[in-house]
Amino acid sequence: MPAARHRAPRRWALTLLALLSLTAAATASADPRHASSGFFAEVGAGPVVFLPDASDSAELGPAVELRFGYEPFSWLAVGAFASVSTHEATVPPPPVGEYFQLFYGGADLRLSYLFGRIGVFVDGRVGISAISSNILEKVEIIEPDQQFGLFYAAGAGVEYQTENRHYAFGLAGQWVTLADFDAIQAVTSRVYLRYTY
Amino acid sequence: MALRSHVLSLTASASIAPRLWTSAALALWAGLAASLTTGGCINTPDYIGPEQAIEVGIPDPAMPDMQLTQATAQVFLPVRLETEDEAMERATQTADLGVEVSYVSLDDFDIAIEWTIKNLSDEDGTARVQVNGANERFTYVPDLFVIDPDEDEPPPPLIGNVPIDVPAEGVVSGVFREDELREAAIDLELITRGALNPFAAILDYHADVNSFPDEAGAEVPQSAFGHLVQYDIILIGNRHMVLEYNLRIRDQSDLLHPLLLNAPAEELTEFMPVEFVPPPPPPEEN
Repeated sequence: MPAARHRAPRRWALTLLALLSLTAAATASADPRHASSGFFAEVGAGPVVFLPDASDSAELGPAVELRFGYEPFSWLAVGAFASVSTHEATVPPPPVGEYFQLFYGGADLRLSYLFGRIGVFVDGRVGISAISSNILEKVEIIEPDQQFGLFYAAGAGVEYQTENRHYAFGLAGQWVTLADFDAIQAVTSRVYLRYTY
Repeated sequence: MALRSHVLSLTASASIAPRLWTSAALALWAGLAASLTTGGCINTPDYIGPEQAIEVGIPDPAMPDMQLTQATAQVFLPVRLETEDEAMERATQTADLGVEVSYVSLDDFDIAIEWTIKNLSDEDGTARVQVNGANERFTYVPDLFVIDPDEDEPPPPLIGNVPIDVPAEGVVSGVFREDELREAAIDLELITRGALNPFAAILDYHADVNSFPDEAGAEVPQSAFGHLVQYDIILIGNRHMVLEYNLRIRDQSDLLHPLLLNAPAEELTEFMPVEFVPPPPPPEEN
């Protein structure tokens, strides 16, 4: 009996501890990341690889990107971006060893979900792309005098919020369709550094 | 004590971290801005690749019993029409200099010719690729310099003529560089307006020629030199071979028609160069 009396406060203590833990966990999940929100800027770099059949005519190449935007909510961001990638043209020779650049500019929408410091997101993009030369005319990817075209993209990524509330790192990948360039497709991936004001 | 030192350490990290992050971010931004700026300033080339390749080692259409050992293709630069303002400015320059200033000048284009020879036979072969051509005034035809075919050797082509070994069923690629084509254009000016012997013009180095006196004694400055607007590409081979080629053109003055070879003929400048015939040699004195 005395033993049972001694166990009761211990049970209450355990129950209280469990409640506190749950409260803490709930608070932690409800607490937004320790990050700034609002306007942000992003710089990123990574490879771009074309998918068949375009991969027969253009090699994998590096890309760099600038992105600016605004987060009205922690789960939603809208942005504008500009990027450039460079590729070796592997069209039937000649030419041999020639390169071209693809320029992209447009708007995007990103939906995020946060797990503490880690966030995952999906995004979609639409914009205008431009090609630096007519070298892909030979394989009929572009038409005579065609330099610009519409493109759209969809992708996903993961982001890590640093101790410093202004900065975050991320890894993003996208599936891109260059609709007016014979609808060729590419996969882009990039690591980025983001600064939120 | 341990707790206190830990707290101090965190504080120190927090104060240093923003600087590191800011430096890293600034470096990345600067790099990206430089990349985008550089990308934006790239002088983007246009490629002109005629659909038809040049073929040798096949029966000669004119004499079916004979094999073709030499074949030629001509490419004309698709240059847009000259505007009135440009024509007036050029006329003014021509009047000031006292020599004809070219519409397509030396600095208007940087042109390279990329080529690939395929040996379609099962025997090793040898090929030569030559390039002749014309500026807007004169066409260079080496055979016109031959007075006595039994004694005279024709002068070399403006570019090329190096023997190239092409293995059986093999492929060899090469390029005539921008500086070679630029010098070829200067050589043609020297041969025609400068009345220089073609052997001397082509075999000597003339890329740094800034001016020369024409036959009337007027000084022709480099700004009046014309670039090649017509390219005669010649394949000579002793096997069944095919030459594919294209012109890589960096248009410095926005003279190319946007549609290139697909442009309507009436929107292109029709150059009418004449074949340059050298003046007859002076009579021999007895």
